[in-house]
Amino acid sequence: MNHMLIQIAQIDLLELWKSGDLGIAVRLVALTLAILPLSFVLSSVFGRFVKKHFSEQWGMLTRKGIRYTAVLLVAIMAMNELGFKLTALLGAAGVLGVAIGFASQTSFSNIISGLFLISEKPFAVGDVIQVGATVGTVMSIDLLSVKVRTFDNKLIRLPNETLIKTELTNITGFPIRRHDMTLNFSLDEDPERIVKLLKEIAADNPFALDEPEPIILFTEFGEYSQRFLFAVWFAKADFLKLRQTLLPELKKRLTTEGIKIAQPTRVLIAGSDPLGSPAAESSSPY
Amino acid sequence: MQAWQPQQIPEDSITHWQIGPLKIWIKRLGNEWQIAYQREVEAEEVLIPASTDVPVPENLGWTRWVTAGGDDTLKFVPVMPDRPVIVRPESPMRFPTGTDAVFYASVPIWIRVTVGKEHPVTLCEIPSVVLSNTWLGDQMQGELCYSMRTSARRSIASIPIRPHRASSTVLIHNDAEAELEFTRLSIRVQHLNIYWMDNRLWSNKVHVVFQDGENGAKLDYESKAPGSDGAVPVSQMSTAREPIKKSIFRKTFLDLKEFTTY
Repeated sequence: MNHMLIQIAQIDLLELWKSGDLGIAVRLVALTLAILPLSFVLSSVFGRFVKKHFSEQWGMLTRKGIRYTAVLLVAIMAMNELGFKLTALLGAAGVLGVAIGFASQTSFSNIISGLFLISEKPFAVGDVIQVGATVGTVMSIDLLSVKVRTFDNKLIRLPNETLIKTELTNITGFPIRRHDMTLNFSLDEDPERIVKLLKEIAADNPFALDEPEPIILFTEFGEYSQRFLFAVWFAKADFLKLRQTLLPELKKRLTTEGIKIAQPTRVLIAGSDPLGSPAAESSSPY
Repeated sequence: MQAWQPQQIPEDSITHWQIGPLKIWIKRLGNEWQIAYQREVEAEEVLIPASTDVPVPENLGWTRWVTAGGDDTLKFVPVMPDRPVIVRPESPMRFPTGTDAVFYASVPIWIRVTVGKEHPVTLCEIPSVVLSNTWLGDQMQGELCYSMRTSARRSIASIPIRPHRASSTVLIHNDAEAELEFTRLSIRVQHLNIYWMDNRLWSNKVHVVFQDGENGAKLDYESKAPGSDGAVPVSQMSTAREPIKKSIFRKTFLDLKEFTTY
């Protein structure tokens, strides 16, 4: 009995497969159901393999490439089933291609730029980059654009072509960074005392790296101050922690030690012979 | 040793310890544990075992945990810091080819707070001293380490006994053709166990062999306790974060030339 049922089912399916319009519909559904899930499985497997052995960007490209190829394949087979002549279609596509080519010039430029970006690797997902006025963390590197999340949580889409053309800074490209501060101290202060204090402040801060050593340079005499460069190295993840601790500590220690930050001052000299006047001599900082 | 023994914590009262500069307060409310700590920088030698009649500062930041069951057993476990530490000799030392020397370093430990008798659960780890960060490598690649203020010594007698520090013995041998200038050394403390011996905490011994080539120095970590010749009793207090059995090659000595750029 079962044997007979299977035979009937086989005959029915075979006839259904071969029969006219209904057969076409059945064949299309069967092809779609076979190819698309297979493409998802293949893209997932190969995508993971490529991501593991190469990079996340190449993994994503492989995944998308396999899926788009599968969709194109299904579309071509469907048109074939529906009786479209592929040669005629390709001829029409050539004419259409020119039109589409002109229309999608920017998109193709972005795609090519995207491929260059992926191969050149100026940054990776998770890096903090600056492009023009935009600073943020790279969320994804896609074929057409790079998505960046700014620190105030806005999503910014940067076209790949723009990234290729303009200057781009990868802020977290290296594991350690340097935080530079220019400090103006009063001309009355002893530079050696200032250097000693700044060294102590850097040494006491757990986020300021001991090595590379902080750079403390007496750079120049300003108009009313002596100018120092205070440059401290830190691990890139500690940027906020360093700033939150270093500046308040600097202010506290300067107050405790009685070292004055320079204030803009002007020396006014009255009279026709300023060099001879006792007031000028006593008020001149030089 | 007393601070490292398991202890029963009474409910609804605050127990206090001080291990070197680190002051810890712990409160138990049934299966809820509350922990607060502060550091007293100058108090290197202090060791105050569990006491309940100590005034509690008002500005403590308490952290709360809930544990399964109402086990009242608490244990402090001394563990090594989670990153390599950089030590320096008192002054740079030169090693001609084929020479070796032993140095002793005193590493500030972290205190792992565990609860439970049969299956202890770790609540947190508290560094006894906040060490400053430092970098081993060049500006483009390297490894984040901790920097030690105390220098490595040639004799263990010159390292004072401190309740919050573990002594590490490092044997440096120059196997390279060039002379080795020892100015700074990275000790990969995450591979070190901690032992109690002779009234102080110890780690297992490290052999550092400086070799030619770009592989860095060859590092060997002895798997036995430092005094396991039987002369003095030794007990193991904790195992390494990343136990390692075979030799590894790592960048260990820092070259001054790497950081000469402005």
